[in-house]
Amino acid sequence: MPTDMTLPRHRLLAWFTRGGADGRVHSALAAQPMAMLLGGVVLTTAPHLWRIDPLIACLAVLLTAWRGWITWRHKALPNHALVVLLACFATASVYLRGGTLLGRDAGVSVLVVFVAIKLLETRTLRDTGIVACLCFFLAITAFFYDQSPLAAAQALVATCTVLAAMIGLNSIVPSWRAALKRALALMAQALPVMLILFVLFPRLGGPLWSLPDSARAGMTGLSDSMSPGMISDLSQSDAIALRAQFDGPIPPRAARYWRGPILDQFDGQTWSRTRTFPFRPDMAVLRGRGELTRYEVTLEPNNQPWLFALDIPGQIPPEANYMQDYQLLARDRVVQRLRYRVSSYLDYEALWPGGKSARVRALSLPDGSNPRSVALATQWRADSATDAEYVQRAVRFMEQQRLVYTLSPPLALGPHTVDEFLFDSKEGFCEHFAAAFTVLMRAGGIPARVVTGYQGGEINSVDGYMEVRQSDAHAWTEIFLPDRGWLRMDPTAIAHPARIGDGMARALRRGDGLPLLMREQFSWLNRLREHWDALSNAWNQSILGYDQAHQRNLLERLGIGALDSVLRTVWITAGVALALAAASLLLIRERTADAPAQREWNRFCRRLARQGVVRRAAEGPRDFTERACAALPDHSALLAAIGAAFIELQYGPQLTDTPRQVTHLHRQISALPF
Amino acid sequence: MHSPLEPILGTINQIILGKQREVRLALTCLLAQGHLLIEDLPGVGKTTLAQVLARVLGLDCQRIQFTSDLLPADIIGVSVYERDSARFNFHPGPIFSHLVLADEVNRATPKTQSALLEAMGEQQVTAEGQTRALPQPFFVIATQNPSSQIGTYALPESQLDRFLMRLTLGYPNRLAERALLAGEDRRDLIAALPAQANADLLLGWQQAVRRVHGAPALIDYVQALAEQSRSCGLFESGLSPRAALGLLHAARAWAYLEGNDKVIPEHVQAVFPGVATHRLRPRDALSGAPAGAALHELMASVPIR
Repeated sequence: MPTDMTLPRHRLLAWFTRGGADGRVHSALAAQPMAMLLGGVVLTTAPHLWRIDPLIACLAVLLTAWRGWITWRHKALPNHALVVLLACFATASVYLRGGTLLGRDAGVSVLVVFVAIKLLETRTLRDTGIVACLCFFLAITAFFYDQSPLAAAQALVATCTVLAAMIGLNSIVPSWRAALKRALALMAQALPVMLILFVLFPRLGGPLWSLPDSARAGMTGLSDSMSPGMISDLSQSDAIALRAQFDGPIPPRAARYWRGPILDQFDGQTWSRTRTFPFRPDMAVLRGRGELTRYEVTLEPNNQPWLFALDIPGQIPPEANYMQDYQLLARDRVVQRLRYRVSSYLDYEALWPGGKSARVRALSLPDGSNPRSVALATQWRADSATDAEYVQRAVRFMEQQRLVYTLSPPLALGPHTVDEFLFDSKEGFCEHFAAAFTVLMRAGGIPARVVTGYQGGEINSVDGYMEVRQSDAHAWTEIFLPDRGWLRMDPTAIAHPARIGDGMARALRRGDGLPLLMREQFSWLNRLREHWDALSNAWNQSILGYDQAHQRNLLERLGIGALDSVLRTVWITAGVALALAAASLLLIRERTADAPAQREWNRFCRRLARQGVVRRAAEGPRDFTERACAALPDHSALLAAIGAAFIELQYGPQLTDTPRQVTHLHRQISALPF
Repeated sequence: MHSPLEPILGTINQIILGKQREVRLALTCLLAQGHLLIEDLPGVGKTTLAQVLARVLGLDCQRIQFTSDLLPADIIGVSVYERDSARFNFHPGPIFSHLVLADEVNRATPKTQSALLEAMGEQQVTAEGQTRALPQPFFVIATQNPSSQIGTYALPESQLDRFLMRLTLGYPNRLAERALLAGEDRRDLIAALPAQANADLLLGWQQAVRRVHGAPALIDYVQALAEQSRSCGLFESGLSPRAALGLLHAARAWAYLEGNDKVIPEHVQAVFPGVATHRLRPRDALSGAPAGAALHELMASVPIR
């Protein structure tokens, strides 16, 4: 240690960057594959950076960049103490920012930042191995967040890069091209194993472990209540809500009402759902006319129990409940993509008015709310002889009131939202229409409730699935007439028939803030999106949708379904063990396999052996070449050159251009006329 | 690719006729900083070889005739009281020279032998409590007479291991012997030879030998030879790590002598009999098979990949 005390700060800095106690200041690892490993780390951590705390993400990026600089400029690695300090700091930050070290987000944060820290003490090959293992694990953790084909492709690229880096780091003469080629070959070799494990490995009934609530925070979809503005917010989202595949003809656009949560409780502002009980929809309460429309729905997770079906559900999946308000409910919240078969009557009589309290709710309005609407309704009631006439008046009113259908209605701030919509602003989205019509019905003594769900759905021309997006979210009204049962009334359609006939885009005013994909000038984008959606649907159906039941089906068809899962696990374990044993045997052979120059020499010897000049096992290359030259004097010059080249490659000092020399040797041997 | 030692070899071969290979091995041994044991009958040119080596390389040479009454002090030197200066003065023995010819080393008692062998191993001697360095380079050529074993103390194997090589010169062939008989007196010839090098030059060459490249593939081969010697069952015991190291180093010196900057298996094979012959005792020694045959069998059984 220098005894100079004038610059203590610099000395401290110098001490920190001096290198480890072992005195190896510089890393002996080759720069090119090391850069590749850094690239692999970046690829692996990049998707996580947006998910973890920004501070931790910044730290990880900075540390990785530092290591990149070290590799690039051949600088010294930081002192061991600094690395330990950084690790402590990172752990503390994760704890302080997240409040815990457990769980998915904290775990991923720790992993991301520790990979970066590990890079700073990566001196030996063994260290790079640890970094690579961490990267592989991080690549898996990405699937905790996103299981789309894009995420899979990303993980694949990252894994391949890390593999190539490891190959480069472990080879004597690194070449990124060769390493990448080899990594790809490795991945290709792993493919059959992956397929076998994918098909045969026992599936768990649920997710591997239950995800914390934070994992569900981002799910969008209809909720169990509706207040002005909620659905118009939802319709800004292009996300898929559900996909459907029809057995028979596809129902017309006007019939594509996907029945969701039924909202019958109104407090003047918000419509909310009441829990009802399941019942059996027999002939007494549900009479369907015409054919059942059968289809299979793949529902995106929405963290709610609703299962959507076309209005009105007929036969329901066994795992669902048919509620008394004709809604399908799953037993649990849908937190994973769910596939179910269901069928619907598009033409029906739903005759069950609901229980006593439900009937009361279907008529109740908060006292004093929306006085202008109530007054209007009271007047209509006095003028109408029958319920049907009353409804007619209301429909005519909706048609004539010149209500504007817009995605950005003025924010309703007052207490009487329906009055404001009907008489003042006259601008609203479907939830305004539905709420207003329901209030008018109730004020006139007709049981009514709001039904939310989706209206519409486009057929993806690539794979034929119907795609229903969040932007198709809709709200309408259901009224109960004693002789006809519940009737669907869509006040939006009454005021703007185009909304249902042509879709939202036509019905909206020009310049209104349409979702991107509904704009006509982006039709090419739409086309692209269709392909992408078809791909992700195929991915969902065949990869992610391969669950326990599908596995059982497949195995039964293969004739091994009789094996129970324990026995199967034993078989698979035994199979994997055998495969690993075979792989290690191969590996040992690979280890003892010949270097490229040696391979060329063996080829040379084989060629000469065909000419009768057989190399004895213990005959050195020079002796053999001399003998060969004597035996084949016509080619002695070439033979001698080959011998000399091989001796140089095999026994000479390491050359910088060995691969080129080997290629040259190969050409020379190929040039032999025999 | 010609080594600077090529003319020296030529000169020596003018004096020692028909023994090119042995001369080359002897010089290899010298370059590899090892010591040489020559086992042969009297009168085949052992002394001449030592003298010509010393003369041509510009080294000083001492000959010690080992007898059963030779004492360590006769080799190392003694302190003699000198009246003029009134104190003991060390008179260095014959071992203080570059090249020492220890003739019939097996005739001396083990105590005397070990004094020589220690000097060979340590490159220094301790006399009367004082350690004295030997001149550099230091090279011992010891000879053994295999024919009359009465009253001799054969060197034990552990001591033999200290010699890098063991050679036999053998009778010259007809032509060489004819030339020897017809030519001038060897002693006169040697006296007339010019020195073609000196101690410093030789030290430089010895350093250069250390830099001759031994590739991993070659080290594999040396290792394979050593392993095979241990496991093949032809010998009572295999080559020691020191022997393997010596083999590699001797091969380096041989390569250098050939003017090569890298060792190839042929170099190892060239020095292998010399390096291994005194370290490997054939298991069926009594059956009369010569040791050389077993060594060649061993070499033939180790493939060069």
